[in-house]
Amino acid sequence: MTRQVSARIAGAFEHPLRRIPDRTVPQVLAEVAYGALADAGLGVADVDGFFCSEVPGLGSIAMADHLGLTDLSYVDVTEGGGASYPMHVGHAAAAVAAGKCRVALIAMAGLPLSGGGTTGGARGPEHPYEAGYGVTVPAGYALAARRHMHEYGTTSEQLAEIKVAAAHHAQYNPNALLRKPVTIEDVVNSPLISDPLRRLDCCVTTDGGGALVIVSEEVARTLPRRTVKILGHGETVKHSANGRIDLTRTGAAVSGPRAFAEAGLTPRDVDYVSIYDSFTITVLMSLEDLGFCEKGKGGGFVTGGTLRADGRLPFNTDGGGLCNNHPDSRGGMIRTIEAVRQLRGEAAPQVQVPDCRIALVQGHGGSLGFRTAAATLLLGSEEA
Amino acid sequence: MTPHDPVLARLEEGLAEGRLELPRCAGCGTLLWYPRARCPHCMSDALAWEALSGSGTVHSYTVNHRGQGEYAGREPFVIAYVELAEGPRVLSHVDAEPDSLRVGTPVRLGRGLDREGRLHLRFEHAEENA
Ligand SMILES: [Zn+2]
Repeated sequence: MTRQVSARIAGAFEHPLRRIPDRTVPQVLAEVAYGALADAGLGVADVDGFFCSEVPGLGSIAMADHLGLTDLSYVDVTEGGGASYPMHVGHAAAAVAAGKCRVALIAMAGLPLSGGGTTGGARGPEHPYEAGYGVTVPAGYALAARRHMHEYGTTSEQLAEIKVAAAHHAQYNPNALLRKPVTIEDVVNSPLISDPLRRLDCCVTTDGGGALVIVSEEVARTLPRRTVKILGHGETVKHSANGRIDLTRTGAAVSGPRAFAEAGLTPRDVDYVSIYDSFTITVLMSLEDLGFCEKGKGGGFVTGGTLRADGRLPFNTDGGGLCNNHPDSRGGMIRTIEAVRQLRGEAAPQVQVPDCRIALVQGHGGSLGFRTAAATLLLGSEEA
Repeated sequence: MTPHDPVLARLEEGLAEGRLELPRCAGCGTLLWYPRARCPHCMSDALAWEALSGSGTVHSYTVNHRGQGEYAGREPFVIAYVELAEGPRVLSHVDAEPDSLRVGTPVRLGRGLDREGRLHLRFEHAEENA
């Protein structure tokens, strides 16, 4: 089948470690950037597009220096929290399609466990109205979860199904932080963090990073490895709407339909999904907003192993942010990399989706309880 | 050092005198939260501060069992979006037993400022002090 392809993902690399006490953020970023270029069969001299946000010092400019990128014609520092990287993929595909660059490098790294955190950022205008209440990251998502439970009857046991599927996958990933399978009872009996969210509803915190290489069709033809087609991209910002925040909906309700329309695809065409899983509720609301089930029916949809590799809609087969990796508290890079593995046929054998042709990546950045960036990608295998 | 914010200062002045006041746009009628110097709907700068009832209902809430920073050791405590009777959903604390709260529970503003005179909305059950 002939599809409109704006660009391709030719290289991907996830740092194998989850705790990195002996390196700096730029050093880890160089490891993953060079790893992705080597995976693509390319070198630093080939890179003419650079996509990098939220790194120490002068950001992307300092990192271009550190990495030795000498011939850049296109630079993008888009900051969308954990959604930054699927945003970067969409922007890189557009830049390649416009002829602004031919080989785009997207890289991220962070060391929240080992103290080499990225820049904190200045205070936003909402700070005096939100900062004094002790709102932790789980608390923001708990506000969304509680409202979803109220409006739609979603239960803690239904949310637990999402963690159970992720943990089932993580046992086959030797690099995953948490590799032990869990039961629904384990999740709903884990300690309350921010009611109704419990410890096992929350993603892991890890050091690490990842990188991707996006290339033009022309460059892709010269490379030895299987590439991944970028078929569709959508993004948006969803915010608190002048005090009328809708806690039960994510930005995927906007970014998803745009990506599907660009790709000429529907949810029924999708073989595998990488869904941002900062918390179990993030996944449930995303699946509804992307149209995999009716709004409000996510709880029933995920029940019974739907999201397992052998289920109707395999998700996060690396173990996701809930079990594998969520470096720098930004999951969009690693979620995209697992979609690339699935479309290349390189996921762990126990969780590889047979004949995986179409994958969806959903990223969110910020907090569902306040304001977020959202980005959706539709990706295709070489056979798609 | 934070630059002076006259909009925040105006909100805190009202609360110091026991009134919850927010700007309403004279151009399009939109009530603003959080308060701003320009209307985010029609861009007007013609804003008139209006006293609100201080009444609302719990739109959503969480009982936080893991406080950080100044909140470590003060758990559990309730963080909520209170939907004011006039419309806006405002982040706040609710001083109530967690088990006594549901989505939809009627609440009213107790205190609006902390000891240093900075904005800090605390709601309580509507029937108390009614
Ligand atoms: Zn207006």
